[in-house]
Amino acid sequence: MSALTGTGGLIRLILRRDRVRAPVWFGLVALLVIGVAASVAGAYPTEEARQVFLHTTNGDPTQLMMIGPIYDPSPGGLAAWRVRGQAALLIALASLSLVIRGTRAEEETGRAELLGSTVVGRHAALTAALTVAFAANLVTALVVALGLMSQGLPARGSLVMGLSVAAASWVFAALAGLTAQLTKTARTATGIAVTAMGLLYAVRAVADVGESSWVSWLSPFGWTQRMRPFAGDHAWPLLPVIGLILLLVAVAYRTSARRDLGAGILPPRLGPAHATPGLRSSLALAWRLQRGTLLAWAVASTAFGAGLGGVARSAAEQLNASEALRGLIERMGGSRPVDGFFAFVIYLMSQVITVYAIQATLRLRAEETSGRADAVLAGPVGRLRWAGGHLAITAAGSGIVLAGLGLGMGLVHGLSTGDPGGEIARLLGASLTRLPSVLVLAAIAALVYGLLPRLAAIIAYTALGLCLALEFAVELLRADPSVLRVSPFAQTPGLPIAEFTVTPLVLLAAVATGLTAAGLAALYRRDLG
Amino acid sequence: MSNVISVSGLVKTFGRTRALDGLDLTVQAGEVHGFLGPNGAGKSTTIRILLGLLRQDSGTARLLDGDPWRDATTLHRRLAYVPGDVTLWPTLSGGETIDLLGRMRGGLSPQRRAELLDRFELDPRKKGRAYSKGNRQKVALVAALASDADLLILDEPTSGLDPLMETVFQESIQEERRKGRTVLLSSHILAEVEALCDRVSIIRRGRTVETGTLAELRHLTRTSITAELTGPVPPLTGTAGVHDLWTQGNRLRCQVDGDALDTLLGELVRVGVRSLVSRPPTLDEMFLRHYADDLTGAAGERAVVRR
Ligand SMILES: Nc1ncnc2c1ncn2[C@@H]1O[C@H](COP(=O)(O)OP(=O)(O)OP(=O)(O)O)[C@@H](O)[C@H]1O
Ligand SMILES: [Mg+2]
Repeated sequence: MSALTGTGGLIRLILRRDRVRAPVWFGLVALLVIGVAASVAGAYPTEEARQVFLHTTNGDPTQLMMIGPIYDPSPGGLAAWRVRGQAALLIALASLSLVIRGTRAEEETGRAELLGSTVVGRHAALTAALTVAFAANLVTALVVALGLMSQGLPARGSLVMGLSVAAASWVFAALAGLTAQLTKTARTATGIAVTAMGLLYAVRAVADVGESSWVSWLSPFGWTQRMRPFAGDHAWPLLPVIGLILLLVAVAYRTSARRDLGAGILPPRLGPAHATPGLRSSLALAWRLQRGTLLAWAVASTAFGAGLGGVARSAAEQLNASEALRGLIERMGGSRPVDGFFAFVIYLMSQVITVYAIQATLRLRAEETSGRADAVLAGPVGRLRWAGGHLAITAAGSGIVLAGLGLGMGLVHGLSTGDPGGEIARLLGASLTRLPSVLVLAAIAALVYGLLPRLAAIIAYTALGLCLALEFAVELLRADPSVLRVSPFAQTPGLPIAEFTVTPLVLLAAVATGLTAAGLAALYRRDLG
Repeated sequence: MSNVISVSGLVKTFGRTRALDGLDLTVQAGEVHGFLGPNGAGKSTTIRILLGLLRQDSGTARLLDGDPWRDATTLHRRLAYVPGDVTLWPTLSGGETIDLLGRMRGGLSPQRRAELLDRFELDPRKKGRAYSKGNRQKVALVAALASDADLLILDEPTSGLDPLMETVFQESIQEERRKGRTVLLSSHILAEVEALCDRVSIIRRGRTVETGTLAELRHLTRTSITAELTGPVPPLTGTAGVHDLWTQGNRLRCQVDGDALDTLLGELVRVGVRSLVSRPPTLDEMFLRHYADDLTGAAGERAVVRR
């Protein structure tokens, strides 16, 4: 039996298992590129408008940092600038998660052992996962190329565009193949790969802001950027890309050959032999368990806020050009486009941040079903105190994540207007105003957790989905805006354009408290486990 | 207070499953009480009711003179629990988990902790997800044994331990008994039960079928007799309490109920005994008899002893 025996079967297994997930993820990236290309042509129809845009963008450090410079004022050049970076990040994320799911995640759950005891060679899983990832990226590149060509963009540029997006993604597929060999858990393997990706993107950002070409050579994102779709169409940067991929894959195979199934190369880190003095209550435990997720959300939301703050001005103009969104901004009572933009994204982001709040609330359920709650509740800790600790952290955490959003937006936008203090205060306030709405959804999760624990996740996320669906019904299907009254998100004032009123906040807070209390009362009465 | 746990007529249903069907259990202060029964008999369910995690449908349960559901928080200061399937927080080290559980109960002695870690050969620095099943169990055991709880509730605490650690566990429980602590020990390991338990309760399908000391239970089961007599074997077929009789000339083999032993020996002695081997039931035979399905009827019912 060779080390590759069974690769074909595993490829079919991955294709079957990811038959929905992969097409959706890779397909959305392709659609994003094609869609943005189509809209850029409409937004800047004349050569002159595009020239002006190129000059303002290339002189704007926030744009250079987030995306990079525009190389060519043609519609293709603008499209390439607008979307290449984000598309590469998204698709690289898809690739690395696909590879780790097919390798380390399988080993961690022990399924690989089951398979490995049948006729499967030791490199088969790695080979299968890499093959599928490389092929998926190639297909995406071709779809992108065809999509761009169908809009009348030059064929050569379209192909280079597709390949430049896929090339970055190949690198991270290969890197994930390696990190999957190093660590014991899929989580850590993903963590290392994603962190590397973030750092390498940041290297590119620094290089573009500082206009320093040697720094940009340190990052694969810098190499693929040099392919310059529609602005020279270079293929030679693919050489270092291929070289790096070969190196990563070779190291991955070597590592895979030397280690045991299930084991990593990096030793699992040891923890402290004694707990810190603070770890002495169920609240302290809840904090310890939740702080990682909270930190990740807070950092992501601050970074995202900073990004939004950076694009606010250019985005506000585009938003103003879109009829549906202008309607929304007017409904919120605004006239200043930038404030309208902020009100809109805060409104939208508060619903995304609600995912954190629901997730943190449902932590209770995870603790219960895993049996870990028993260990706490068999001690002198009442159910209410145990659940209350997690819920308190959820509430405070939601506030922190929202504050991060406002802080990021205020800081970056403020730097560009020259009034960081004022903007931070304004946008921080506007974000935090949404807290009661978020907490109502968290309270719904707490209520169903108490009453119908098995259905808690489904019902809580459905409730959030309905709020979003109502919004779309009003925007796209022109439903009567009054239906939005049932959505807690439409109750809080849309700062910074709307007037601040305190009554709805108090009412929502009261509703959230009532629902949570009812949930706790139900929890107090029912069986656990 | 002499009864630490007293449960009577406990009923608990999960949908259509009747997990407990009138269960009785009495654990006296200072004893190590074995809690036995086949898989799915309802041991863990009983324990979870005693811990206030589940609520019974009917029947009464008293624990340390309190109500396990209503007084859960105060009662839990005085007990420690080790589940059969220990799950740990993946990001906390074993040492952190032991400290946390101990401190929530009001602190634990550092010397005792160190001594137990040493005895169980447990590395407290590993993260929860890195421990093997046996080592996860050791974390829970150390946390429970390091506490100064009056009552230890152990639900199959050794199902993952190797034989060496099993011995360490037994020594530790003997120590706890000497300190006067009460232990409720659910177990499938009969040697462990025999070595540790003062009394046992055997349950089946949510009901208690036997309670008593091991000696009492032995008395209720059959002894096997092999004998060679000086004359021909007297007619024994049909004698109450004598089973599986086999005879050949002067020799016989049979099983005899504890309370028929006297009668049988009387018969044999009257003829004259050349040699006799009597073997008490092994623990395995005893439990198999209670676990096996075909013995549900009269024998099982008659054997219930209440103390
Ligand atoms: N949460 C639950 N939902 C439904 N049925 C349950 C639940 N918990 C226990 N049961 C059922 O109750 C019965 C008793 O289970 P229990 O876990 O108490 O048995 P046990 O004596 O501890 O068995 P084992 O020796 O296998 O640990 C079983 O039939 C089990 O399937
Ligand atoms: Mg059990």
